[in-house]
Amino acid sequence: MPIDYRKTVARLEGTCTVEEAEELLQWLQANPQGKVNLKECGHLHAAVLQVLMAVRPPLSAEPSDPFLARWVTPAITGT
Amino acid sequence: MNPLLKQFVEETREFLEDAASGLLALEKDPTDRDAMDRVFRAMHSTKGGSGLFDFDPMTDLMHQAENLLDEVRQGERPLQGALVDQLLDVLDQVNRWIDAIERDEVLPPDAAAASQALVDKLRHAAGDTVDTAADADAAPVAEPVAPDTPTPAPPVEDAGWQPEWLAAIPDAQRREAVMAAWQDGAELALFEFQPESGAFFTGGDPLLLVRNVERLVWLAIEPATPWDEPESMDAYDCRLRFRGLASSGADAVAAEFAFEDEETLRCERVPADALVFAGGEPGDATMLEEFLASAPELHAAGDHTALRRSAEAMATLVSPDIREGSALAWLVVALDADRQDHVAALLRELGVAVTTPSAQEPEPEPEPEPDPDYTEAAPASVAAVGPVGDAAPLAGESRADVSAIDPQAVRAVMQEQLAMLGAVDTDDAAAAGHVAAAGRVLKRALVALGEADDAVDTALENAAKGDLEPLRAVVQGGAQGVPATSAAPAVETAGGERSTKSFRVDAESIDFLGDLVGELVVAKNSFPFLAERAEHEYGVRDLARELKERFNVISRIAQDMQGAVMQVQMLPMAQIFQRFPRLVRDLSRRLDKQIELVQEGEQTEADKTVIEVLGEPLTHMVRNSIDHGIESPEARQAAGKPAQGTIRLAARQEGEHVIVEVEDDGGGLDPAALRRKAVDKELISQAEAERLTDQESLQLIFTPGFSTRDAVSDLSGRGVGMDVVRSTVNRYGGSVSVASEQGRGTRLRLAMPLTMAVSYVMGVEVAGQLFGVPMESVVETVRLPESAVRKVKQEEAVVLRDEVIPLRRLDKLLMLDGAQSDRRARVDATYDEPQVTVLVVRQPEGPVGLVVDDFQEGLDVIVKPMEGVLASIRAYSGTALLGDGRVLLVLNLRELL
Amino acid sequence: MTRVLVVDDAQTVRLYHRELLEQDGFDVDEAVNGLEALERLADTPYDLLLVDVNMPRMDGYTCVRRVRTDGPDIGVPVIMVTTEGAAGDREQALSAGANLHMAKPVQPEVLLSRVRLMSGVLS
Repeated sequence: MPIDYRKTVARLEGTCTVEEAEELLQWLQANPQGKVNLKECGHLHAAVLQVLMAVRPPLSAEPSDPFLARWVTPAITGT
Repeated sequence: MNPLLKQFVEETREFLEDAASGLLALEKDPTDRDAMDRVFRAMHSTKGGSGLFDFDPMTDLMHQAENLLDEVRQGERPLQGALVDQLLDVLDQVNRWIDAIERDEVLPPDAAAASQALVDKLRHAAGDTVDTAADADAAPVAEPVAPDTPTPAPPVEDAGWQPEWLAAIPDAQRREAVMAAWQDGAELALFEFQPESGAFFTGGDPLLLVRNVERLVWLAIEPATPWDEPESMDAYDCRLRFRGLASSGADAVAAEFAFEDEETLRCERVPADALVFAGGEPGDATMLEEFLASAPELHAAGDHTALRRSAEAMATLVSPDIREGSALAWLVVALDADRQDHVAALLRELGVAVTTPSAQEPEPEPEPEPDPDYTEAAPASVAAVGPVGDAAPLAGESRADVSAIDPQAVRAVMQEQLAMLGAVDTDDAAAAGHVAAAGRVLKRALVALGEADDAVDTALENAAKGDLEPLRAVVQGGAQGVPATSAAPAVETAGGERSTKSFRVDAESIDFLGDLVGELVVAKNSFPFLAERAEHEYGVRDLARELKERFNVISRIAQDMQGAVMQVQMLPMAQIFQRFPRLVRDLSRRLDKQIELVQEGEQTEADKTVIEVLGEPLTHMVRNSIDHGIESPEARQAAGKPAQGTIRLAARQEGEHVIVEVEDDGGGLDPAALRRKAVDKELISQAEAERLTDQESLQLIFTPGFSTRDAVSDLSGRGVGMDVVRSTVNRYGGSVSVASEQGRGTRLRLAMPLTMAVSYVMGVEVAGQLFGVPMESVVETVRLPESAVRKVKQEEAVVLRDEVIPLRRLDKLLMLDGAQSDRRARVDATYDEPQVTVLVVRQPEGPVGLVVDDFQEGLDVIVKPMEGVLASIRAYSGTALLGDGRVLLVLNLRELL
Repeated sequence: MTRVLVVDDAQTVRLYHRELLEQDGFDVDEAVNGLEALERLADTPYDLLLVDVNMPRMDGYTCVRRVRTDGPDIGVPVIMVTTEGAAGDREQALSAGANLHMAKPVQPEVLLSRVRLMSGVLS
């Protein structure tokens, strides 16, 4: 269960694979106010990253993984 | 945008225009060496410029185009229509890139692909199948440019890869990389990785590949093309692009992407030197004073330790986000690595005058720098500023009155002298008189302008023999305003010792200056109001008088400034005309018509605003001529005309107007058909139609809702007709007229004021409101006894000096409440009976009297065209702000009456 | 003193021009038609002529053409002022030998500035 969909937050955990991209996109489409928690995410597939970059949901927690925190978070938040 | 890049954008636009016009000339006459040289030169210069900024796709494309053209030039390849089409496409593409560069300072992400596509097409158009492969394999940057001219491209062998996005790498990361290179000898590599769109289906994870790059110093993840809306997004269409900088070396980086090819990955070494430049915007440098005071000495003495200490201390005080802070941080790095070349450059960047210490043998400067910002400090010549021509008559020796005449008016008068000379034959008995009179006026004009008049005599002698050219040169001689978008060549005067320097000014600054002067002219209008108040409200007459005197002084200065700015804002008609050869060519091809375009008077100058306003209407008129005017070649031959039609586009100056004519030798307008159409469309009644003369019928084309063809045509249709042309032109104080002979052709004539900056209007009061009437249409103002008004049926009229003048009540015309017009018929001490106040205005049909409540004085105002929904109210030509803050509506009498 | 000859059959116009120009320091003479203008020119040198078109006995065009052909000062600057402002006026005035054509109503400032320039008062 790499992505745990709660009511308003999707929690990404461990390594998110390419298969998760479509489901995440649908959840974000259905929950326009939905947030994403990346705290426990170790790596995410480029397809998942692309969904996050295009939809730009607010992050309820930033990743603790240094690579993601340093280079991927800015791409998602646009900073 | 830094000045260098700005310069590049402006200049390249000019090159592209040159190239396009040259190509069209070449297509007409392939033996035109001059045109060929022009195109070649323009393309070559464009390429040279793009090379300077690492706009590789642009350089590649221009290179390919230039090669092809060179083969044509050498006679190895014919110049067919298809090749011209392709070359024009290339120019269009480069134009779009230039727009993007102006906006974003970089090429759009798809530039490389677009460039490649066009390069392929060019080869195809040229029928080149021989060495395609060889060309395609050549690395774009390493590709040698034409051997005859050295281009400022970086030295190929050691440049590595220096893409334009180098500048996007933040200071801190660049410093980290450079320190790794200088201190640890690391090899730096740049990579750009753009997986193909189906990459997600092949199972790999592009982000994982990037993640595995060792010693990654910087990474940017961006969409290669803009995202779709989330609702329509395809999660598996890969759009990502990764750009990065690593200090593990190009080979190591490339190894991580083992299965990618050059389509998706570019990874190359980048020299550390290319990363050394101060980032950020220049900021407040006052903190630096102390450092600047001591640095030159320390540097000259070679005391690097002290210099470093000083720089480091200073760096803690200045924000690293501004240019100066960044330069200081870099300085410390460069000093640590003992890179004297960079130390010197960075000191210069900081504003320190650097003298190379004699003991130190300087290494060759690592030029050229990849980032244009970096070179900003060095070539001050880019912004070198000379005097703005000598046209402004500010010379001190002239009488004070000189300032009362604006230089532009002087030029207009001078221009008329040419017209006068052109209006007489050389063997006419009056010819000598014409020449003498023109000579006298020209000399006086030149003196008034403060220009030398010694060339006039010789030019007059030539004029007497019928050669007006030298005189024309004299008239235009000093008229080197500096049109913002064209280069004014250095002009040598007759003596040859004095030359007018020119420099480029970007159009926006001039607009801004023009606006400011306009505001000043209006703002000064508040003085009379103030004087009025001083006198009547506060009872200080002396102050009022003094205010009026000061007002006169400021008025005169403002007028001078206005004249000077207007002179600068003059642009040649060529600005608009240059688009027409292409338009005529493309449209006539599409319509299978043969049309030759003849242009005259491209050098006629007019105010920038006028030129801008003329563009649309003229384009529409030319399209009309192509579409409706010129017949098909078959129809023309059947009518006994040459198969090729001619459209003549001519501009000239007449007095203070610029006249543009669009004339075709096509089928002409059929007055009877025009009348029928107007009746069919219920624009006029049958009875009205029968009363119209043929000449009057032609005017129907200006009626709203009239179109000469049933089907809205692809070209000139779109529901926009000549009525829009007319209302646009009218709105700016111009006029348009038509003349046509059936079977022979049509001529449309546009007349626009040369300038439109400030208008002189008369204020009139109606129903308690103030309106403006353009002074040039006012004939006179009279007060008459009410009994002098005669009623003929519903119409009112008065007789003035034996002439019957129809009266119109302005309050009714404007649908204002007449009851408020208490002063319309008024009795006061000087009159025994009620008086009406009448403003007699000139109209094409004869004078008309407007009944108003009262007149006001004449006012200098800046009339701004109506905007938004108001623009459709035709009764007004614009609004103007008065000195006391009120808004004045300026009447459009033509529409109103 | 800079001397201007105003040629117009309408007294009001002559007076108006006289006042306008005298206020500005010019010396003004008047003539009521082309013929009288030629007579005046024969014995007085002028710095500039301000000429109307429609006048009895000799119109402005003929007058200016005669000046340009026979003098005595064939090069005297001439401003012609016409009433209608119809197309062709300017061409006719210029080909007759006028240095400048202005259509009525003329703004006083504009007229003054042209007279100043062309009469050489600025030189």
